Amino acid sequence: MKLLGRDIPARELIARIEERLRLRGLPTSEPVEVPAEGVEPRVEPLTFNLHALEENADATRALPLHTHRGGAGQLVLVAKWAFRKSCQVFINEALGRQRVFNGHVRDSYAQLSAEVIRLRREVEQLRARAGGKPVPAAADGELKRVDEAAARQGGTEQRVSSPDVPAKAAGSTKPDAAAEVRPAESAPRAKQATSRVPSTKEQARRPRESAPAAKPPPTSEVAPRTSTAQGPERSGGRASKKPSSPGKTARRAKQGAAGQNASEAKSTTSSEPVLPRPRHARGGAGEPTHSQAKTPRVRPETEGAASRTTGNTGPRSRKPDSRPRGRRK
Amino acid sequence: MAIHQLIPSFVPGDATGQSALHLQLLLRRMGHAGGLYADEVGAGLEGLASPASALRPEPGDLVLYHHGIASPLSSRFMHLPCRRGVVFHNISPARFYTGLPLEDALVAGRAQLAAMADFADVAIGVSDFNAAELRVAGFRDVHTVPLFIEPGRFSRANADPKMLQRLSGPGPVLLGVSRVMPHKRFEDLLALHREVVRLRPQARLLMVGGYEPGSRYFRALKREAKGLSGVHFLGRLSHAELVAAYRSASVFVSMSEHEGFGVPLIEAMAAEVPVMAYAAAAVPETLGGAGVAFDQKRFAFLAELAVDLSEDLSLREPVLAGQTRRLEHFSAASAQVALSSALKGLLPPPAPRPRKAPKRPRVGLVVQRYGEVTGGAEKLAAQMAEHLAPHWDITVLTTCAKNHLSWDNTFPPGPDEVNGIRVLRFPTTRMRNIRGFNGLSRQVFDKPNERLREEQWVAEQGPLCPGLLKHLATTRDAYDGYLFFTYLYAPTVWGLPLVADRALLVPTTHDESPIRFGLYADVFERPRALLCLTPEELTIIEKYFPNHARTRVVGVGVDRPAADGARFREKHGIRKHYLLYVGRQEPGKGVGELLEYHQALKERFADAPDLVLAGDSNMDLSGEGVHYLGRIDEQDKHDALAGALAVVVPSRYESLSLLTLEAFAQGTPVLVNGRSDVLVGQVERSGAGRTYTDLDSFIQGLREVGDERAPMGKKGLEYVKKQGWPQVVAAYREEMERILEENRQ
Repeated sequence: MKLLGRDIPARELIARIEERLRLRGLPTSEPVEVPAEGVEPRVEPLTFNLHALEENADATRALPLHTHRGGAGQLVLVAKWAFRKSCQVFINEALGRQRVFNGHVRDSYAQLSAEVIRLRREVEQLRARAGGKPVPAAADGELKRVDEAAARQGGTEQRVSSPDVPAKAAGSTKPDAAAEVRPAESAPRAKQATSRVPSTKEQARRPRESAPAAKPPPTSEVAPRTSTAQGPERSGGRASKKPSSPGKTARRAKQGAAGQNASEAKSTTSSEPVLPRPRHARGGAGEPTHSQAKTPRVRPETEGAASRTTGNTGPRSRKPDSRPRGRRK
Repeated sequence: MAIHQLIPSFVPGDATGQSALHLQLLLRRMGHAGGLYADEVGAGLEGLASPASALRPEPGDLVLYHHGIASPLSSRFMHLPCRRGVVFHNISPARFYTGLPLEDALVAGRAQLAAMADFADVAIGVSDFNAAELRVAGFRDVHTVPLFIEPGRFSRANADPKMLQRLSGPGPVLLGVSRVMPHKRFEDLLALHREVVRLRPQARLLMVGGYEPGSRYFRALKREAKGLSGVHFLGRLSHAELVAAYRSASVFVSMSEHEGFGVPLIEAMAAEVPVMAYAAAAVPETLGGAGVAFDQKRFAFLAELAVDLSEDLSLREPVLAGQTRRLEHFSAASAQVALSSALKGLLPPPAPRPRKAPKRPRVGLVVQRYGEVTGGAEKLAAQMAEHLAPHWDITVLTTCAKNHLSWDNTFPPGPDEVNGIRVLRFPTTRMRNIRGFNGLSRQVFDKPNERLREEQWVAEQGPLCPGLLKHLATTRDAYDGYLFFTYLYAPTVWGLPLVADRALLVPTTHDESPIRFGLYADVFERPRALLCLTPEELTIIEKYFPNHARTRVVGVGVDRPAADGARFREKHGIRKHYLLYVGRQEPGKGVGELLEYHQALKERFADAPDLVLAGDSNMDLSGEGVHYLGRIDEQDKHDALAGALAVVVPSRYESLSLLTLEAFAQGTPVLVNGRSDVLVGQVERSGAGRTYTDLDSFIQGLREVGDERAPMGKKGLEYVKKQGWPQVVAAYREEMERILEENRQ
């Protein structure tokens, strides 16, 4: 036990109190392992956001049952559960398009974040080639940050490429592709900045607690997609060779069209068109039909002008030369 | 360059909002204007903060975003087309909330923090601990700017008496203050209390902080507390009640396992309560050797320590003395030094000081209204502008408002000219809801308040004129000095600190409820000099602001145009003797009481004089023998003054009363409200009137004034002859010269 304070006679006070505790027959001071407190670890935003999008893409999936209310709160929980049990099929129907939309958002983000990582790497390489020439401040800072992340990862492959290091040295220490820092691919969701080892007491007190760093990193889900999205040069990387888990594959199959869009994003290379093909142009080899994908069928697009707010076309327009409709006399 | 602040939530009781308000205060003292913008603005705080969607910074501006738990504002922040800074208030570790809905928001908050790192020009942690987390998150230009408190607001005088009474009783009393959240470890407080009760069965535990009554954590705490005596969950308290809780406690205890700063620790220091705190995260840094920090939660040991701290004076007093010393690190002045250092690279360099004295000093005269308006202070401002115009290059900086109750924009914005004086008008952005304002006034007057409530009152008082504040902050080089009129209104409260080093203030101080607000300290303590109108005003200032700026009684000059009372009677068809009041006809000026006394007079005496009222009205002015004339011109006014039996001044809040002096100038005695020290002083010094405090003294005073009208009128005339414009103008010029000379040096 330690007492910290400039205005107290700490030792004398501890001794006095320990003596009183001894007289009361209470246990006196024993050496106790105190948890090392450090600052919280950095949470890599690109990885975190992708993981969060993955987690929440399915709008039809229920949030965990939870309430802040006492008493009546339990009834609310039961009502929620019953509603889900009886109405899930309608929820799926109502939120089908939302699920597709979320899938697009997730896939777009995956593609963009992969692009950011690729560009960071390119800037890094250019900087190494430039031989210490000044680079724009933002890029310099970006590199420094990436280098710091690498330094935090530690290990024998730790990179030394801060702006102060000569270009030759930086070039000579260029690691292989697999060892490079790829936050969205290999970095865990959160990295511990200072090692915080929970004491046995603390573990006993909080058996179910686990720091974000201790969570299974989402890289098993993220890595294959982002790595292939970076082009053919990365296709031989370790991450891209990792096979998907069976559970993951099953979920992909369920996700249907959304998952299919993801695979489209995966196969996008610099030589391919950036935008996916229009929906009505799909259905080629290997692409599931809407019934297979279990997603709502989309109304065919027409040539009418898109609305300003949604971009969708209005009610189906008549063909210019179509016959008058309605009952013929 | 404006420095705006972006906050997720601006509601009462929110530490981030309070921090933003404090930063705004410091920024104003540093000469930077800027607004608060929040995603969620609490009810009634719309005058202080605008919706985040309204933020439109200019490229040269700086936006400081206060970050904590995940907020959509972080995405907005990264795309702001200006310079950007992050103020980090820390995020509770997610490990305390595993499996709860909050967990995601906490981790997302950290991800957002890291994502913002490359988009911030400056990063500010409110503690070194937070600054370290910012560095880990990838920020580069990281500084520590500690939070601060105003110790005066935690004095015993600021404690709610009812709460003090309610919490009085046997001790020792342990106190915990924070939101009731799992990582704050209220269960440890209960465990400690259980041990203390073994030593002192009468011991009590006060737990203060907002909680959700149905939350699982709170229910568990309640269950745990059931078997314990002396446990009180007080919930969220008002400021005065919180001070009472601090002042009722023997020891403040924090068992929290994560604090990014720990505001309650320093609040307890300010309330002179010994602090015991678990040394987690930033707690040792905040304590800085003061109080007692411990590294293990051995409750039997800590209970002994708590009893010692509350009962053993040889231990308690040195701890309190050390805490008082530590408190100096959390003063506004210390925080301002740190903030200046943090923003050093982003601020424009100060303009070089002028070497030569200007031939005609360029002076900005700041007043809430100008032009065709009724009001003593506004009229004085106009008179001063016109008398000083030959000596100074004056620009009147004012609003477009004409009506002081609504502040609606009547005059067009931009340059204007009134009686040869250049005027620059800025539009007000908010109309006043007078009913809501009066309701708020009833809530905050004559009781201790936190700064937020006082700022809210000033915002509701208005006029809100961000354009005027921005002009003051951005055109400092265009003026050699500033002359502010009236202490009360928002343009002075928020504008004066921007240019305080070159400002003179004519405060027109009244002994009224708002002057007790601590927020007015900047107004009375920061300008270069206070120019008072009477010695009584000086007494009021000394009473409420002992550390006020240099003062000088300058008085006012009084014009004595030729006047004819008969002409006035003829024009308005008034046959009988009459009492006269000219000014704003509103209850706050005591007009209601005057009407009441006059009606009683009419009922008792058949020859009672009529009552003539002139000026803008906001109330019903009917009654037997009452003549309401509306606004009258200057000549008409002087004619009315000359013909009156006596001039009545019913207001109890006066800093000068120009009307009294103008009545003296026309040889007419006065009958004034005896509850105003200023009016009593004017009457006693001149011998030209009587005072009243109730109906009887009103009747008696009127009788005496009627009997001795001529000799009293003569005394009044002699009194005003001593006060001339040349002396007044010379005093103003002398004070401005002093500012110019000091700035050159």
